[in-house]
Amino acid sequence: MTDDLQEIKTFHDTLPGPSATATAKAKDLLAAEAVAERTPRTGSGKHRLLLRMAAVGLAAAVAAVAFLTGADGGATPANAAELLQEAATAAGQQQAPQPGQILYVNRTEQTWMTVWGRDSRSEVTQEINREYWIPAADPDGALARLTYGKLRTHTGQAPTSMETPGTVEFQRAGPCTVNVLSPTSKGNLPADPDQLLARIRADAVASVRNERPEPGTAPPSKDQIERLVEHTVVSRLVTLAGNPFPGPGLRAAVLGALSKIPTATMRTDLTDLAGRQGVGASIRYQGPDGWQRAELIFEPGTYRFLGSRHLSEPPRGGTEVLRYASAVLETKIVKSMPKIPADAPEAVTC
Amino acid sequence: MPAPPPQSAPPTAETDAQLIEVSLRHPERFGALFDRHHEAIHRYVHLRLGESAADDIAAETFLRAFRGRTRYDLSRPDARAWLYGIASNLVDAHRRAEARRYRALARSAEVTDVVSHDERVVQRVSAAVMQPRLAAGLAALSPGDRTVLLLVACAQLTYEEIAEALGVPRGTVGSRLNRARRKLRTSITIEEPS
Repeated sequence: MTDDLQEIKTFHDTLPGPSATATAKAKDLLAAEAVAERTPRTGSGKHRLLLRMAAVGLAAAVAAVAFLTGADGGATPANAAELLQEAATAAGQQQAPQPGQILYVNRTEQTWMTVWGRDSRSEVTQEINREYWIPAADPDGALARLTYGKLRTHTGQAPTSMETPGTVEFQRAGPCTVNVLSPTSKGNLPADPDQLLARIRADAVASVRNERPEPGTAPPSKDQIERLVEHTVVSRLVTLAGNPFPGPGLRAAVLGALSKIPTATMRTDLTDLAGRQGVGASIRYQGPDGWQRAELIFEPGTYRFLGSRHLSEPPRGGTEVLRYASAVLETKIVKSMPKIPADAPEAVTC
Repeated sequence: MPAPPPQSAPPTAETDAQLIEVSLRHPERFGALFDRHHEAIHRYVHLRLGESAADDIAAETFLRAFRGRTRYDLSRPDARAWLYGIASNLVDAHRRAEARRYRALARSAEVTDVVSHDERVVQRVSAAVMQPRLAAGLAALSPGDRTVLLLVACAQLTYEEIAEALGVPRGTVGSRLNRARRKLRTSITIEEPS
């Protein structure tokens, strides 16, 4: 071998081999494929997919969905943009509820909160189960039922002002519709991804520029303004993606717009709040208090939205902290809304 | 002494072709082929796309090989060319990322991968001495020429094997390799033996 080829070979040979984790993952995928092949082909594609996933799950508790083929037999997306496009397509193919029908969504959430008392400060995590009933003909008349779950105190004393586990609360959820833009923004959101992105960005620019610095502080630099705009755009799109109100067209547009966010990266090792493994997009952006990251999680193969996670880094760096997690447990069409019990507190507006 | 991992392939003198043939009836036996070649395929992709992408693409290479093993030419005892061909095709889909990687490496001698073993650090620092110049040379090559060059240098495949792996005539392999080496020499200073 001549010197130039030898130099490449030498460099190549000094590279480390695969990590034990990577090797185990790859081998588990292969083992799962072998199990799936042994499954009689009389089953549905979804059945084989589930078997393959189950085999991988048994083989190792690792992200095992990286190379599964889609439900339609298509290849796994190569990057976050492709994945979000797949999710947008899947969302757009959902059937919208017809007039007279009511969309029911059951979602569980976990939120990290800082609770301030008179002389105290506590950091807690609260679980909430949130059910929505959204009439197709009258979204403004939507109703939400919140059932408060576990409350965990991480720092400080357990706050007394929080709802105790088991508390049920009704909300008039109509105002929670897709109005995530500033109050001055009017009109419906466009169902075209590019137009939607442009609209949200324009609104974010206006919102950020309208913010007045606190007395005694310097106005934000151009760079800071750009970061704030990006933060606003991403957080609004992510909020919309997890919002139960958008119909198939707008939901597809939201995911399509997210596919154009350049900082989105594909992840195959995501787990939602309900413990379901999924594929998804991780979007990192700089918030006012440091780096933040949003994860949108989808069911492998079908790209059904499973949930989301929001994490933030401490201002001086360190381990990310989970600030919010959600999992959509059920979505279905129902015929009626629940009645608010007579002895229930008055339904508040969200 | 710890017991061997249960999924490790037992020592065998079977050829790759024999393993593939057996795997047609016993799919799980394909794991032995994985055990033989996964590390090499991973290292090849690592050079071209980085460690993280290598994890995915090396795994995908064996999945595709498994799914396509019914079409494998069982008269060829060594499956390396077949596997490198699959890996090269997968890498080819990331040609822009590959070019970006070489350009980035060419701009900096820093070792950017996370390392956790002292020996690896030593090896990489040593390798990094020539890495930027090498990377600049590789960045300047066309994807087709680069693939042939790297299959010769890293996998040490013959012209015939590369032709088989890439599905191109043997003469094309030779011309691509000559062209690649001519371009590469403009970027790499070859030390003459004293």
